[in-house]
Amino acid sequence: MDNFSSFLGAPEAIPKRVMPFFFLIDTSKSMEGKKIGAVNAAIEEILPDLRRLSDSQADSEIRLAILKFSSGCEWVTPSLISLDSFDDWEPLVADGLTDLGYAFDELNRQFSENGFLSRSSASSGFYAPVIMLLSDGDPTDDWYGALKKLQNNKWYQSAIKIAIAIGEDANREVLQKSIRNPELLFSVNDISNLKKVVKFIAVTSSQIASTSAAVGKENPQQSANVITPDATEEQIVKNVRNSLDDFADFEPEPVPIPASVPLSPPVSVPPPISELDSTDDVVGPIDEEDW
Amino acid sequence: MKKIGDIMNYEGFGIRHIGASHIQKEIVCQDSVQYHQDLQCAAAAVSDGHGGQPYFRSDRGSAFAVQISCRYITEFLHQHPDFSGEESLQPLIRQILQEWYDAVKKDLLAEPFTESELERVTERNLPSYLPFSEKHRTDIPPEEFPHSLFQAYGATLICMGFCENYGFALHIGDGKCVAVYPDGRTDEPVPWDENCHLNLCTSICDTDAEQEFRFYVWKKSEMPVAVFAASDGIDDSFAERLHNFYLHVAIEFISCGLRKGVQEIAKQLPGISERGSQDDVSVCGMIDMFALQEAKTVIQRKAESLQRNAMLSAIAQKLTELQFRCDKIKRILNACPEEEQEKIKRNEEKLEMLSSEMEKLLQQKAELEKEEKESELSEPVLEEEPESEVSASALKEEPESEDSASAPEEEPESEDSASAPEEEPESEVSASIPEEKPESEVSDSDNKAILISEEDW
Repeated sequence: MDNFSSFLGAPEAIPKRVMPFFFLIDTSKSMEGKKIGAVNAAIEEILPDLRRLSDSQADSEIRLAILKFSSGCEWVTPSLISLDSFDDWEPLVADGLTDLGYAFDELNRQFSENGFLSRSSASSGFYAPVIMLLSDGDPTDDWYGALKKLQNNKWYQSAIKIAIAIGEDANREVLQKSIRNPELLFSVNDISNLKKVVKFIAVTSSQIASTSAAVGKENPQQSANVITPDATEEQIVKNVRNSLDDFADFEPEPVPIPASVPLSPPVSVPPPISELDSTDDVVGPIDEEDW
Repeated sequence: MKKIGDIMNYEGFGIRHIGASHIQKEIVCQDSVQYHQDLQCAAAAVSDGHGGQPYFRSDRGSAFAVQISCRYITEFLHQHPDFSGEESLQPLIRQILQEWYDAVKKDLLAEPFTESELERVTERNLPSYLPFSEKHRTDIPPEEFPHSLFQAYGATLICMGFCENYGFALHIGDGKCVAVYPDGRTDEPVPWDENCHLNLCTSICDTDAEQEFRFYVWKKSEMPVAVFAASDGIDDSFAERLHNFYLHVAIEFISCGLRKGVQEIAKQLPGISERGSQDDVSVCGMIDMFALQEAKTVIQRKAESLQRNAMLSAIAQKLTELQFRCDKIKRILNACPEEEQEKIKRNEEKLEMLSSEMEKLLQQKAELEKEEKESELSEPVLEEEPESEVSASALKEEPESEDSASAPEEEPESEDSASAPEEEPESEVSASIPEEKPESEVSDSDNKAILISEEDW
C-alpha cells in the first residue's frame, strides 16, 4: 500500500487540468499610439487577475499563449505557459501589415499534433480553449482561406471564441466570421474603455470555461446544463450583459438575441434501477442467475 | 487434463465512486461498473452516463449497458472459445445494442417520464417524449418507440472479455482502456475515436452506435497481464500520468492480492475525484494474477521510468518558462539606460535568481536522465519461453488472415517502443499461484452456476 499511497500522495500525481487561453493581438501599424497602448495596459492588468483566478482553483490551472500578428505573425510566449511566468509585461510595438491569415495558419499548426494542443490533450487533462482576437483593421492577406482551414480543426471548433473590434475602422465582418456566437463580438470605440472591457471579458470567460461535463455528440447544443462551447459562450454573453451598466461606453454588436440556453441548476434524478449503491464502491461479480 | 496454468486465469473487478461535484450538486452517480467470471471466461464493463440535461436517465442507461454487455460477452465467449475473426464481434455489438434498447423500452413502460424529468427536455424533443410521460401513458408498441427516446439514457461503454485463447475490448464514447503486458509495456490498444473531443463523445444512444463501436482483439500470443478501463473521471484526473496510475494499481494488486488491492484502490477513489476531475470515477479490469506476479520486477521498473519521464516533462515545461522570463529580463537590461541603476540592479538580481533556479532544474534533469539511462541498460532481457503445446496449437488454429484482422487499423498508442516477447511466458503451476484464487476456481457452488443453462438468464 505504501507504493500506491506515495504515488497518489505526490502533489504531481494528479495534475491540474489546464484551461488554455489564447490572445491573438493585432500589432499592425494602424494600432500605433493609443490603441496598442490600451491593449498593453489591458494585458498588463489582466495577468495578475488571471493568476489570482488560476491560483484560486484547486483542480485547474490557466495557461496563456499570446500570438501577435502584423507583417506575418510571432508568438510572444514560447508555448502555453503558466501565469507565474509573467513578471512584467513587455509592451507590444505596433508596425507593419495586418496578416490575420498568418495568425490563423499558425493557430491551426499549434492546434495539431506536436503543437501546443495535441490530440492526446483532447482526451484528458484540458478544457476547451478560449481564443480572444483583438483587431482594429482590415486583414491584408488571405485571412478567409486560412480561417476556412482553421474551422476544420476540432480544437478551434470547440474553442470559446471572442473578438474585440478596436475603434470604428475595425472590419466587423471579418471578426464576426472568426467567431461562432455573434454576440461575442464586442466593439470598443472609446479606447479608454478597452482595458476594463478586455479584462472583464477575459476573466469572465476563463471562469466559465474551466468547467465542463460530458455530452453526447448528436445534439450537444441541447445539453442545457452542460458546458458545451455553445452553452459556455451563451453564459459569457449573459454575464457580460448583466454587467453592462459597468461598461456604459462599450457596446456588444447589435445582433438579435437568440433564445438563450437555460442554465437552470441540475436536479436530482431517481436512483438507478441497478442494484449498485453509490456508497458501495467495490462492486461484486454479477452472477448468471441475476441476468 | 488441464493444469491451472492452462485454464482461464483472468479475474475481473469493478469499483466506482460518485464524483465530488456530483455530491456537491446533488446529482446521482452516473457511472456503472460490472464484471462476471466463471471457469471459462471473464467479462468486465464500465459505462459513464452523460451529464447533460437531455440525458436525465443516464445513470440507468449506464447500469443497463454494463449488465447487458457482461452477460452477452460471457455468452459469446462460451460459444466462441477460439477467436473466429473480427466479423464475429459485429453480431455481438448488435446484440448488446438491441438488448440495451429493449431494456430502455422496458424501463420506460414500467416508469414513464415524470413531469419533473420532462421539464428538462428541450422543446424540439418534447413532442416525441410526451407520449411516454406519466400523464399520457402510451399505446405505442415498443417496436415503434422513436430512437430519440434512447437519448435520455445516453452513456459510453467500454467492455471486455477474456478466455483462455484470446481477449477483446469493445468501446464506444470516451474513457480509456489501458493494457499492461508481461514486459511492463503499456498501451491503449482500442483506436481513439476522433469524434470524442473534450467533453463531446459518441454514445450508445446514437443512431449509428453500431458503426461507432471500436474494438481490439488480443491473440493468445500477446495476452496482457492486466487490462483496465475507466470512465473519463479517472482519465481527466491523471491525464498524461494515466498509465503510471494503472502500473501502480497493478503493483498494489501484486503486493496485497487482488481482492484486498481492489478495496484499497476503492478507498482512494473519493480523493482522486476531489483532487482531480471532480467527476464520477470508475474502473473495471481484467487481471491475470499469475502473470502479473511474474512481471512484478519489470512493472515496478516501468512505473519508476514513467515517473521519471513525467518529472522530466514537468522540468522541461518549467525550464521553458524560466527561459522565457530570463530572455525578457535580458531584453529589458539591454534597453535600460545606464542612469536607471535601481531598475538595472533589480533586474540583475531577478536574472541571477532565475538562472540559479534553472541551474538546479538542469541538475535534476541530468540526474533523472542518468537514472533513466542506467535503468534502460540494466533492463532484464526477457527470454522467450518455449511454446507450450496448448498455445502452439491455438496459434496453428488461427488462420493468418485473423492475425492481421485482429490488429486495429491504427497502431496502438504505446508508452514506449519496447516490443513484447512473441510468446507470453506460461505460468508455472506451483510457483505462481496467487494468495487469493478466483472464487470460480475453488468454489464448488460457483462451479454449479456455470451449469445453469442460458435459458435461465
